Amino acid sequence: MTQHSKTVRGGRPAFFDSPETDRLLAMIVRLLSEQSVLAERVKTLETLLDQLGVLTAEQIEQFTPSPQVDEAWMQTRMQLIKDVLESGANIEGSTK
Amino acid sequence: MAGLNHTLALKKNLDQRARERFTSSLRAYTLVDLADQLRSDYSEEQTAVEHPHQSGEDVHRFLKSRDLFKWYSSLRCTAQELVWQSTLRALDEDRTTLAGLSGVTQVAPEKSAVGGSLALDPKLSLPSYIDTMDVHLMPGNYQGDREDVSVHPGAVYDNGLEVFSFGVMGEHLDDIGHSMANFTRLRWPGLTVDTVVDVGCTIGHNTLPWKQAFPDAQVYGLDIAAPCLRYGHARAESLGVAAHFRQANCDQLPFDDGSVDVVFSSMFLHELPRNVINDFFKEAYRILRPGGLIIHMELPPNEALAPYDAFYLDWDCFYNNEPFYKEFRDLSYPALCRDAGFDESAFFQATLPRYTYVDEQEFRDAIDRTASFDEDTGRLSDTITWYAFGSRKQG
Repeated sequence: MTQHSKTVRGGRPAFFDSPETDRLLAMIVRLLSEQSVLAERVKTLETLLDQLGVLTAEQIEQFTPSPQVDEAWMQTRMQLIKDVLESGANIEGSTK
Repeated sequence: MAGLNHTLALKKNLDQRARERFTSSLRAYTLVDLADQLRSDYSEEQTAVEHPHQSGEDVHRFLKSRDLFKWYSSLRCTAQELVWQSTLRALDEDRTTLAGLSGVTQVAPEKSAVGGSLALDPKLSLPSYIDTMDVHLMPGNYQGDREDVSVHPGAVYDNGLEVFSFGVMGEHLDDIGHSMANFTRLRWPGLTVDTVVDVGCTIGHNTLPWKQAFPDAQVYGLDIAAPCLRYGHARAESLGVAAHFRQANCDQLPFDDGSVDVVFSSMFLHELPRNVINDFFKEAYRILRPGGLIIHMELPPNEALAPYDAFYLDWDCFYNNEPFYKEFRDLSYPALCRDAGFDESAFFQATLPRYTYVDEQEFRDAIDRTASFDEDTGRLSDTITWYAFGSRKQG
């Protein structure tokens, strides 16, 4: 698929002491955007399931994972925490 | 966000629509909540200072090193980039909606379902300043590359503006056009309006309202950007409004002397170098018939604004790739008109509520009032007031 260029002639300015800070802020905002997108997809699913009579909002709210499911989710959560918080650990001078 | 309401609107999946809603909300947060915080932070700092700032430049110099300004500005640039990125992604993924619109250069009125037309001029010499910087951080600018035969830059602008404006610019992003055309209709009821020329019309979103306000008039939209005109023509057809799109430079308008009733522009002058503005005004004067009207919807002049408000609007000049913006706003608008030949006494200016958001009586009341300037003048928000100025050719 051909992609249209995202390059801006003339560039965009940076405001913080290091342009990397501007870049990190842009990344965080983009992540926030994707978080919002996912949340709206989940809400879309829940709304449609409710409207179609498959599940009610109440059933979703009352859901409690079984001990086995809870254990599996916990593993996944821990992995996510490590994946994220240990990113960049090789950067010289950064907090290990 | 309702989305564009015509057949050229790009098809967007659930995630793309959610991404655009996010970007719109982020812009509203930045331009309303954070902007209010920036203003109140500034006001607190400036309370009881011995020498208050005298100009927008003073305010800018003061704020530049402050964390909140950096935060606001960096977020605003990021939001601006997201506007175009979401649209470019939609354009990459939707290969059908705009298929078939590329390569069109001429459409005669008799070939149009509604009587509109398109006339591009492949030989037109384009000014070099449009290639040095992508205005509004919009990749590709309005014209794309010189060989662009598509409608893509027009589509990027239309779909992007929908996200950018977070619902405050009208159903078809056309409130400026409706406000200016109806201002003209109500303020000068005796004015004959047979020919209207909108200069720097891009995709014609503010051109079509003139045809709606003056159904018997021939309405022209002029721009140098072929892809925008090509898109604008197709968009007008889709909306069922007859307008004539012409590729032309504003300093060489393709109309005979004294042949036009209204020359209009919106948010155009501040993107032009000073010498081009002067040449455009002279051309406008030439093509207007005696008694004809020149009317520009623009950002208010710096001389009318308090220092903070001047700084706030000039932000775009420094950080949104609009290099001529401040120089324009520092000009005397009456002098611009006068130097082009208009009688000084015919100068007018107005600050107006958005026509399609208020009832006609409220709009009429604003016409009768003297222009007044405050933080809402020209500042994109849900309480914005539009600014307009212009003149009449004597005779």
